Amino acid sequence: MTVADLDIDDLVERMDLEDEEDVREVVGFFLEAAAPRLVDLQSAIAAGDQANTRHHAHAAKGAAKSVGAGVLADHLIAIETALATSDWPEIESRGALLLSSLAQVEETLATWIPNFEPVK
Amino acid sequence: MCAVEVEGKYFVVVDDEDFSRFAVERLLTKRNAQIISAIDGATAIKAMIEAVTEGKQIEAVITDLNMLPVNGLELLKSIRVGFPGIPRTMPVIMFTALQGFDLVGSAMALDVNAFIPKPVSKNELYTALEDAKYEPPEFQEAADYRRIPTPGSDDLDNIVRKLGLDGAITPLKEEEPVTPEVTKPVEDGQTEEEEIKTEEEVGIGPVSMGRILSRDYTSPSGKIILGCDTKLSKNMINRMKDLRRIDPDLPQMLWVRIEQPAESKS
Repeated sequence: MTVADLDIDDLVERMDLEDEEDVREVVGFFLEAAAPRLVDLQSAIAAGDQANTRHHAHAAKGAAKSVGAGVLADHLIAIETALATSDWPEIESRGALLLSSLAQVEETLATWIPNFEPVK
Repeated sequence: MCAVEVEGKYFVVVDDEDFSRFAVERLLTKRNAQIISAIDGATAIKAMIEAVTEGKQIEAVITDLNMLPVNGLELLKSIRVGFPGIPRTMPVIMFTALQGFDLVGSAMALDVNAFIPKPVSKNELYTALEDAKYEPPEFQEAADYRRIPTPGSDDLDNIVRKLGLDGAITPLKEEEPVTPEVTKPVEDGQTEEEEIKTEEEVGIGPVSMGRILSRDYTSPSGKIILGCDTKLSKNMINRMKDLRRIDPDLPQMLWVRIEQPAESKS
């Protein structure tokens, strides 16, 4: 099964969205909230801070799953799993992919909504 | 169509993760509900007390389970024990994920009205609201709820202190331990064959309320959801059905005691 960068069809169904404007609002909110959270997570990983890594990864995972950002959610789940065994090489390699996965969410949205303006 | 009318009604939405909270709030505001937002159990209680003081009538609380410093369990317990002005029977709907299953037993003992999975969906949310409205649990006395443990959270006494509500909650007279009902010992002269027949396996669907678990009901990873000796209420059975919808790998069968016929005295 292929995990989508952003499963818009599922999001539309689950969240009762009616049009492009609804999708733009919901995914836009996600992108705005997720970016600083992922930066904080990367800082925690760089510092080897287990508690904050767990806290930010768990919170970001919930948001990623809620919006249907499957690839990003998978990286976050992998980070949470690797924390259980203190597998820091795995945590660091997954951590390095977070912002590019978020950018993919934005790209998918831009493809779906031609006039979508990327979040600054 | 949703059988629950939410327009103009107040709902408390509690989640420490901004987007997850936003998602629930949006589903409700789309149908013109009013939202009281909170980021953990303590801020929720404070916001609810303020809302009630302002004359707002709260329809239901929709809360995450894992939050800091006060989690969803402690919030549920606070409501069931009774804060001033907040009805103890307030419907509480709780999000849970597979890794939160070690806490759901306490939530069931505190008569949570429904479990719903994350990520939220329109259908799950409105079905839960409907269940909460039309199938309320049989609520216990406040003291019964007061004794239920709520791991992973700041406790009720601290919340009361932090909110400046000392004296608002009646403490227990003594630290009364939870005493599970003890299985009747095998009597002299009872054969081994009779001993074996003290329990039976029953499905969650047909099991009737009042039956007592003869073994722990556990998740596939071994977490105890409901412990041995738990007396099943109708609400517990319904919540187990919720959990099986969230995780179909949960066992659909339970071990319960066989009710022995009353001995006739001659």
